[in-house]
Amino acid sequence: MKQTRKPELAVIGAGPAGLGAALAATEAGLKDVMLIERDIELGGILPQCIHDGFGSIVFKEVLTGPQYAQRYIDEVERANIDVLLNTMVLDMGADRRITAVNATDGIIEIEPRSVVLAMGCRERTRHQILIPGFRPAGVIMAGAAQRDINIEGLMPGRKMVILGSGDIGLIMARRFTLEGAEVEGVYEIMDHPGGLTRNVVQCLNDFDIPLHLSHGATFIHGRKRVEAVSVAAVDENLKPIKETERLVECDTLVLSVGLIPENELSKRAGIALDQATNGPFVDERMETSIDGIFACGNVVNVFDLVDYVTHSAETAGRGAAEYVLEGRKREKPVKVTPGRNVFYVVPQYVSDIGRDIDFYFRVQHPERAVRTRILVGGEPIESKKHRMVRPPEMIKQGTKPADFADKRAVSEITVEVVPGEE
Amino acid sequence: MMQQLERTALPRSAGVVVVGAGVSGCSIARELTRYTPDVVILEKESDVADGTTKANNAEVHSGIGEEYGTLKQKLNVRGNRLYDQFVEGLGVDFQRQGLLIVITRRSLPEKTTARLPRPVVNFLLKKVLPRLIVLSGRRKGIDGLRVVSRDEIFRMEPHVTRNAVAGVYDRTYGMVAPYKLTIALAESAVINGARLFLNTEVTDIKVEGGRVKAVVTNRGEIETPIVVNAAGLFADDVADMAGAGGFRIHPRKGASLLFDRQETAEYVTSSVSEFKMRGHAKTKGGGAMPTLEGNLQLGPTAIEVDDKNDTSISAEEIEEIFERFYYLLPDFPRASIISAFSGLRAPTEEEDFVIGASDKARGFVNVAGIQSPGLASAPAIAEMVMGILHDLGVPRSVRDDFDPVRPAPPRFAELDDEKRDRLIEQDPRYGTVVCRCEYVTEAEVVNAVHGIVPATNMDAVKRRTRVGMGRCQGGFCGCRVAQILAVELGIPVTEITKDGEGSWVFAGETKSFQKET
Amino acid sequence: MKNKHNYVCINCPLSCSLELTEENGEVFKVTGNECKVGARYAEEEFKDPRRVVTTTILVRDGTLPVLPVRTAEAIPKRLVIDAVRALAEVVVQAPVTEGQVIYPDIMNTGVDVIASRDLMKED
Repeated sequence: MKQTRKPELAVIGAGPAGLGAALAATEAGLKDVMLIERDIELGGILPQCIHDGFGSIVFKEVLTGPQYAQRYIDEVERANIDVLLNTMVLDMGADRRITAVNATDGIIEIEPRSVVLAMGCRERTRHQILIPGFRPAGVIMAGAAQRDINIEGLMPGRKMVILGSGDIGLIMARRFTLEGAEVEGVYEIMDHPGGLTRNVVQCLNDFDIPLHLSHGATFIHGRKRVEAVSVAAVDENLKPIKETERLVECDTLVLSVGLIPENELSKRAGIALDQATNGPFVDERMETSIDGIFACGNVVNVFDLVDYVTHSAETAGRGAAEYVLEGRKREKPVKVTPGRNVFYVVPQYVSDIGRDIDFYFRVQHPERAVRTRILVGGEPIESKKHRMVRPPEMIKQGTKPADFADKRAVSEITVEVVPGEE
Repeated sequence: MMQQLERTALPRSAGVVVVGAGVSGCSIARELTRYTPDVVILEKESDVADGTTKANNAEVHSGIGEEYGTLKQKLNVRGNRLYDQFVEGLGVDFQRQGLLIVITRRSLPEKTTARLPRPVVNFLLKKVLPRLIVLSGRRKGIDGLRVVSRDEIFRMEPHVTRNAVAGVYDRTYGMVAPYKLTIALAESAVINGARLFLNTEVTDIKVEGGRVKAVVTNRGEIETPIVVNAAGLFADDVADMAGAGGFRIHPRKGASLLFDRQETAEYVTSSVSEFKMRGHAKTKGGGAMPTLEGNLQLGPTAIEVDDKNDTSISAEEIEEIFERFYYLLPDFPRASIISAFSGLRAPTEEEDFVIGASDKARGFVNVAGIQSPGLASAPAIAEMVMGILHDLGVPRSVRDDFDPVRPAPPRFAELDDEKRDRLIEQDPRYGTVVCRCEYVTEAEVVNAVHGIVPATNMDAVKRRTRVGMGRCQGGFCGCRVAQILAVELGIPVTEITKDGEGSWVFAGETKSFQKET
Repeated sequence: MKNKHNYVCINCPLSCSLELTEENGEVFKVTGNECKVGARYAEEEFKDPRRVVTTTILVRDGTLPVLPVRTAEAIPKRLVIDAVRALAEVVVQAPVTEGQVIYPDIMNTGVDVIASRDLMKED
């Protein structure tokens, strides 16, 4: 074992979240920032997201995933940040001590003064949604299929059935088709698509790929390789209606059934996790329940816009720099409560109202002609109009210190949706 | 080196041929190699333990659940006693973590409890039934059973239902990883001279003048005077080939569920099951078990099926598992499920082991009908079969050059940092973690491909290293493992399979695929 | 004779269902839109629908076997499949820099296909 390294900041994960946090921390004054990445190159999930739609907010251009990543990779290379690739973090303690490993250095002990968690998500699996049947080759998650095609250059199948109409499933429907495979259809258990309308139009409609709403998979056929999938319509309780069951021949079942923030390390360190987001509780600086450990990007909650991931990362990076350089003590935090028609809000706590705060939240069900409001002690301090709000589209809304001006004692903050645009 | 197992021609003759490389066949093969190296093991699948053993529940029962007087009861009790000795030197973890048998209101049949007054039922459940269980166990030769009070149950296992009335603790019950055990047994046999041929299916047995002469396979013939039929689900078919049949295997499916290790690691300390009195118990009812890896396992079910290849799980079977154990453990974390698996037991109609030398085909030894408690009985089955084989002419003295040690491959995830560093210095591939969920390194995957019983497909690698058995079920590491396999086997990655012929993983490379379609 | 065409607007979460009526290519009206952007979108989708094309192409001697590429701008929708087929024939030599032109003027659209990222040479 070599000497213990003691950087000012260790960032775990070098996707858009980790890259953004490392750069922001450097810009805010840290000189010894370490970026730890398990994969062979920087970028996280972006190198495999070869489609466009990234960066319209941050760069005011519409870029592909790899293009967006390249911008940050170039900056990180210029910024003299210590990058460890092919390096897996094995453990993290509540004291922020990290144990990592790679082939050249062996076991690496790190005692950083601050940490930013940016591990992203994993995909929900077949067994977690309990699809009955056999367990042949050919059941694959959409993200894994995306990596196979766009990074490894391998086709996972010839005739696909896609389960789930989230954006990854929709994007892959187009990708499979353009690479010469057949997509028989997309089956979505809810009665509305899970992803952006743009993707339904440009990935399904453009290629005449049918979208079957209120449908689920009931059985996977094939002992060695997928031969068919049984599908059926579902009722209001999302239970299959036996009489509607039919057999769809295919050789690949692609699952796009949700993302789960990857918080194994957070759990090991004893960081408090929010069941609503599956990510750590964070405050307005993206600091977790353990002082000096920050979190950003999809490990906190699943964002849909990489631009918001970047914003959250910049907040976390600046927060880490402040923590190291100024060593502030946190005030007793105020809880942020999801109000009417709000599923969850991040941050879940506010420690300091004397700074700009960005709230990220999702609604529970679609609603037209509404206002989203931020309230303090029951009184609205910030309000925004929307023609339409839908669960797949995360909302970002900010407050400034001035908004809190006449509130002497802030005891509770609520984020809610109210009808009426006036 | 791996190619040997497939490309090497079969030997023209062998002293003993063992058909089937499940836990029974491999236990017997290893035992045989104490006395003679001239042993051939034939397995029709692409890996050992690929049939019934693959989906085994990992329980080494004490024998308490078996009907008194049956062969399986006798071999179970003996096998359990021999287990520590059995695994010695194999590098396999075996732990006697005990079984808590919980008695609840459901333990006696409803028609009994319905007719009796409440205090009588309570007395029966609390005082009589536990003592009967202990006595029954003692009669079968099981040590270490004791009655447990209701309070003690909750101290031992706080998640057990408050409907529990009393219990019996069975301390000799243990758990072992069935596939790891089987691979270890097979490798130990090979270290000691046995030859193992995978993808080799027995199609006929030549019998002349009432004696076994040869085994015919899809890859050629082997002359042999002794055949051990440990062919599991197909033992009846193989026996019929030699005219040594007379029993039928009727598959019985068993499904179990696995839960996330972090969420369920300390949910139960011992295995826990609910006692249910049944007339002629075909199955012990299953329970909640902490596997040696730390995942909680629930199951198994028991469903008769017709198809010897039906290892599917239905929605009803999954629900049944949840419902059955919901009563016993009302707060178990259903949402932490990470996997469901099922397999087929191979019982005969008589529901007992069929172990014996055939009198119709001298030299043919049946080891059939090995349903539960097959795993627990393995040492005793091997011992019994060895007795039969000695009578058939296998030397009775142990070889001087028998090596009882089969070193277990190092598991990075379980080592301390110092040991890890040393491994990385020897082989830097121990520093590249391929499977994030289970912390499996590239070196372990490479070693599995080049093992004494080599892994030649994704499932074989998974069984040896745990790659793909964690939270993400191979989502992150799948492609990498396929590529390591391809490089180490010297074949294109498009030829990699999940578990043998027909289970291709990739349809082709992107641009050439596109041009074809 | 008047023809009707249906589109779903992609410009905001309302996802209005649009109906465009035309005769001989001349647009008469658009209904179902809640705002002007929707009307414009329907007309564009009818007259000249365009898409950005993204795909991968083979690389020689790179750290990865394939390189992600994109059309620098949107090209006519009807040319997408042929464009992707044409790109399937291309093999590029590493190293590659982001923005590098891989295939100029794809399908005579005047639009270049460019690399989406840097890709190093394998050592």
